[in-house]
Amino acid sequence: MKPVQPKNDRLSQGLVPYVVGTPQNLPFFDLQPLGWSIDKIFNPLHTDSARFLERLGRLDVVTFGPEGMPMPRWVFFDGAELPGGVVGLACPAQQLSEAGRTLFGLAPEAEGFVPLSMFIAIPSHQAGTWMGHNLASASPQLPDLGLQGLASLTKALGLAVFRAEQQIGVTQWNSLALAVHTRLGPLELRTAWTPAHSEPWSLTYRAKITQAALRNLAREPGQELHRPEPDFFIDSEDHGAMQDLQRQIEAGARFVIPHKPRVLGPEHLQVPVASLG
Amino acid sequence: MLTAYVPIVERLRPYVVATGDLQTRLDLEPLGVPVKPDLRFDPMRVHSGPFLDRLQHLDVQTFGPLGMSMPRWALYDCGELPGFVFGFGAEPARLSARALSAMQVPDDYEGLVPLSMYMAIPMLGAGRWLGHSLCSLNEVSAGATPPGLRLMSMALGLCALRATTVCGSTLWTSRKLSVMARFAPLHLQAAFLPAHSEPATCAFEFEVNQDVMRRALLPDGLPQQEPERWLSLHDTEQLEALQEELQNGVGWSVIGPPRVWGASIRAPLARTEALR
Repeated sequence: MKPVQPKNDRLSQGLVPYVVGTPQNLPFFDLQPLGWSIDKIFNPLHTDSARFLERLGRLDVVTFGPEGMPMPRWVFFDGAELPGGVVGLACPAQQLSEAGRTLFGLAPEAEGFVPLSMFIAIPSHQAGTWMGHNLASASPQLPDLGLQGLASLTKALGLAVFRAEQQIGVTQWNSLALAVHTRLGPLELRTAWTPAHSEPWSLTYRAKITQAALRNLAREPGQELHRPEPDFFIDSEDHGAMQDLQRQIEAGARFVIPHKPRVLGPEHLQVPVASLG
Repeated sequence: MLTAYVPIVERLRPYVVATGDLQTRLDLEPLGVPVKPDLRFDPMRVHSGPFLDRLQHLDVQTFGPLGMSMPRWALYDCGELPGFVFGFGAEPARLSARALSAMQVPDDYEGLVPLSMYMAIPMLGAGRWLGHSLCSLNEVSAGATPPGLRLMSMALGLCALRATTVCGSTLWTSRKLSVMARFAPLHLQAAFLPAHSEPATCAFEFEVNQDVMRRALLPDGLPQQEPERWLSLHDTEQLEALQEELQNGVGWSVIGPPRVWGASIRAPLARTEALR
């Protein structure tokens, strides 16, 4: 298979893909995802992995902390490393800039690999369907590294490692992450208003995973996906519209988010929605 | 099989939290105890919200003091959406004032109040599930519900899932280990995890079949074999040494519930084939 080639060359030069997975889960994984090869494997049940896993926790704090949703360490283990896996890109500590070492709280003489991104997913009861519950990239915190597109590539590699045929996920209507997720193609809305979540204005989506979708997600030029025209837009501050959409979904109607949202302001988006009839 | 658990079955009502898709695959009459349709909650539906509020409160009450209550988003993302919850509850009118107070039930709430929960997440491989959370109100309000509620929630939950292999992780000193060990032997995958919030945590897996279930539900289930050694659960050096043995390919299992030994707790271990 031709290795996926993201538009940003820096992502394929100098960064090393890694997987965190138990010996029980590894046989289910594809360690040659999208033509890349992964030999950096961390076993969460082994004490030798502790330093890298602690750095993963740090990555979670520095990327999700400001949004208030960092994962407690035990959730990392019980809700990620044990049932599923973590896939991302890392670099040797010695190659990190001073800003990078500061971000991760590393001493100048620190050794080993430092994760700069991670995608966490756990299996669902339906074989081939994975729940993606965390996507993090240190690219915005380390602009000097020029790692634009790191989150997209990480998620693409992760879904390929997990051999996902479908992915379900949860995000907020006002989250810019929708721009990443919609690179997979139209996202089917499973919920539009979600009282079970800390933030009821969350949506639950399901995406179909194909080679073309993964390569488009990884920002490989030249990929094209079919996307329906939007029928209407949801303003990310209009909770009433979300609740109305949820009522329609519960009554059996089906909708997709066909492409990325339009940015109206800080944490304020206009999200396109198409009806599947 | 459930003779000794009649007070639970007669006084409380079983519930399930699972998406509509998963509900169609469950045994909704596990061990002959039916889960009524109005007590099958789909987390993707708005009307489940008030019950899920109560469920989160149960999690906060029981795991909060340990600093391990789950953020609500994690309950949804890592539990209810990909996985499943099974437990028992009762309507407010049937609860004691003490139980109502412990669960902070709003005056206008008329639905089921969850008193126990067993949460499980699917794992790779047919029939494999990860037991993610297990609790009952008895842990924070002794006597609020009949004893044996955690064991029954876990046993019926596993039957509802038609699970064949169960994985789990828990603090060595957690009283939950006594419940899990009723399903012994628990084949250890790890005995000391430095990157965990609580390094003195073990990870294990065990097979489930009718024999295991019958033995687990015996009123006085005890270890069936003599331990080769007793592991002192407060002794970090012993836990680290056991972890090293496991990493070197030596297999060990917990073969029964831990016992209080003076001022410490010890778990019975026996050598078994190493997990691959």
